[in-house]
Amino acid sequence: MPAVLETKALTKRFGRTVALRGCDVALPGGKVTGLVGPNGAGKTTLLQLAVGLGAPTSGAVSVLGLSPIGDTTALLARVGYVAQDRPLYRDLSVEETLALGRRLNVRWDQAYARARLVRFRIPPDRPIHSLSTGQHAQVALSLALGKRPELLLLDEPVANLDPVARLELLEELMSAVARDGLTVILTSNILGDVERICEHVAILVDGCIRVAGDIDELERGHYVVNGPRRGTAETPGAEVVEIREAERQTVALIRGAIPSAADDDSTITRPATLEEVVLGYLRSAAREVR
Amino acid sequence: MVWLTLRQHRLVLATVVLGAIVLAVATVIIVDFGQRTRIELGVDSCRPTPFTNLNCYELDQEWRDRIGYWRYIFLAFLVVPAVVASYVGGPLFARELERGTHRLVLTQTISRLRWAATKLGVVLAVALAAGAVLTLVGGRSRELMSGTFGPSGQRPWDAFDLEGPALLGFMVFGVAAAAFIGAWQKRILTGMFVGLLVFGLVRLGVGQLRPQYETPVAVKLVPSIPVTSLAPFTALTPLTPLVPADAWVVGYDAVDGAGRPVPAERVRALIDEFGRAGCRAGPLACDSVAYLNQRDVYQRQLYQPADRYWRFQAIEGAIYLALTILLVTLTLLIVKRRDA
Repeated sequence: MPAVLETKALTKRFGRTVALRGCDVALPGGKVTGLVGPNGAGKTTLLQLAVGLGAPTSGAVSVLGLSPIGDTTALLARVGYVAQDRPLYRDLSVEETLALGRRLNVRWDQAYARARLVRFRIPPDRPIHSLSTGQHAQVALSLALGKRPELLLLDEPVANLDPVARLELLEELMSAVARDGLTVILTSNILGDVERICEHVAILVDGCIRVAGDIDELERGHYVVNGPRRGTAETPGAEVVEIREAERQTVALIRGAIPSAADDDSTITRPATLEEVVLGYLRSAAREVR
Repeated sequence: MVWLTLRQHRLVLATVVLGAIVLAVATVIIVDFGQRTRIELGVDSCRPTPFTNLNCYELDQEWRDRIGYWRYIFLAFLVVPAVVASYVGGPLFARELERGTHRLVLTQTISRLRWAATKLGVVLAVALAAGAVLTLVGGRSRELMSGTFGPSGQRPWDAFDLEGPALLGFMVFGVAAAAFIGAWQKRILTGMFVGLLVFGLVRLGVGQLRPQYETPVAVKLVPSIPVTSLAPFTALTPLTPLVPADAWVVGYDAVDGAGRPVPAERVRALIDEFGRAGCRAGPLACDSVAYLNQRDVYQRQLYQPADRYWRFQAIEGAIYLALTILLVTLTLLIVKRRDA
């Protein structure tokens, strides 16, 4: 499937702060993609540029083949978006919030949106400000899904949710993906969630994609070497992502296919987990900055 | 989008419209009461007793006491446009920008321009409607101050800020100004307070221009007549005021015999000189006007006649309409261009 979100040398500045610097991204369609990275890495900015909430300083974004700046409304008819903190009008009731979706969208599936709320036993006449955080998140998601979008962009969709609400929301998302085959791109700081629901991961560090790929590919393409402290010998065809040296031992994350046999008995070589891959890239980037 | 705007702001918009209606009805009732009481007391048909008019003065006092502070109800008509500007305009965009709900609405299938234009259109229409209610009775609210009622009674200029295109202009301009500042600064309180400040400053500024919308009519001051020599001069100099009672006196200037302007400093210097010299002998000696005239300086009273009232109203209304259009355009540009 072709890329649903593609950027070319995308740069976005806010005054003197650079949120994205010359970023090239191509996120695949038909999958759930997790954008991970430290706070301030540019995840939110990337999603905002993708729905036309901002204009690039330079470079280009294309979403579903459309420009978010030039074809904003045509694009918005096909893209669902839930912003960070899941903004909703506090004074509107749940029913009125759905009415907002119905009135402001060309494509809207009222029965579908309402059925979701019934499933979560959210009373339609309750004002938004009286809902629990979990219910609030479900209403925000319903509003985005009621559009029946081809692409769903979620900025920290489970932040501040308790574990039960978080799981409910993620499962709901997964079933929507399975049923409707929609593409989802979400940002998250919680690697466990990303691992649970995403098939594809892009690691954003300091305004740029550091590495991206399907999770199993990333795990297969990296391995961890654990051994006594000493200079790590260069392995042909492999790139050292990160080396951490403690008093007596060295742990290295290496990019490349795992070698068939270990060189000597003093080192342990094993496939990397997603967490190790992500943390390895994040930490090495942090060290470069320092 | 109209539905959403009305739904979002229904409380404040309903308050504005109902508030305008309540104020208008209250004004009609209290002005009517004032008029009836004045007739009952016979204030205007009062004949002064010989040697004093104290009896009439007391009647007028009695009338004032009965009306009390309701006399100042016209002040509400000055305050309402400012309050509406602050409460309706200030938070219009700022609240969305502060709470992040603009990211919700702008990612539905709606263009930014339509969003901003609808919001502004709805609240401006409501402000205009409230203004239309107020302008029906705004002029009458001033009658309680002057004590003269009915169409022929009062000087129209006193009611300038309380009615007509000017009042409608204040209503829409205030909302547009506060909305613009709120959208620009993204802060509710900034929109409300700076909006109020800008509204007040522009009102003051345009108020300074108002006397100049058309060149004022100028009339030369005439020497007053010393009581002792009243008889010989009565036929020569009119005692009746040269400025009509319903005119708006906007200032004074001075010219020489050829009609050339005389600087105010020179007039002041001559008057000082006159003050130092004191009264001298002769029929006109004790009059500063005569003193100036003898030195080829003629002070003039400048005024705007009553028949220019509605033309001035139209001009002022047009100024505020133009300012409103400018601010609306700026707001739409900001919303369209700026990162959300």
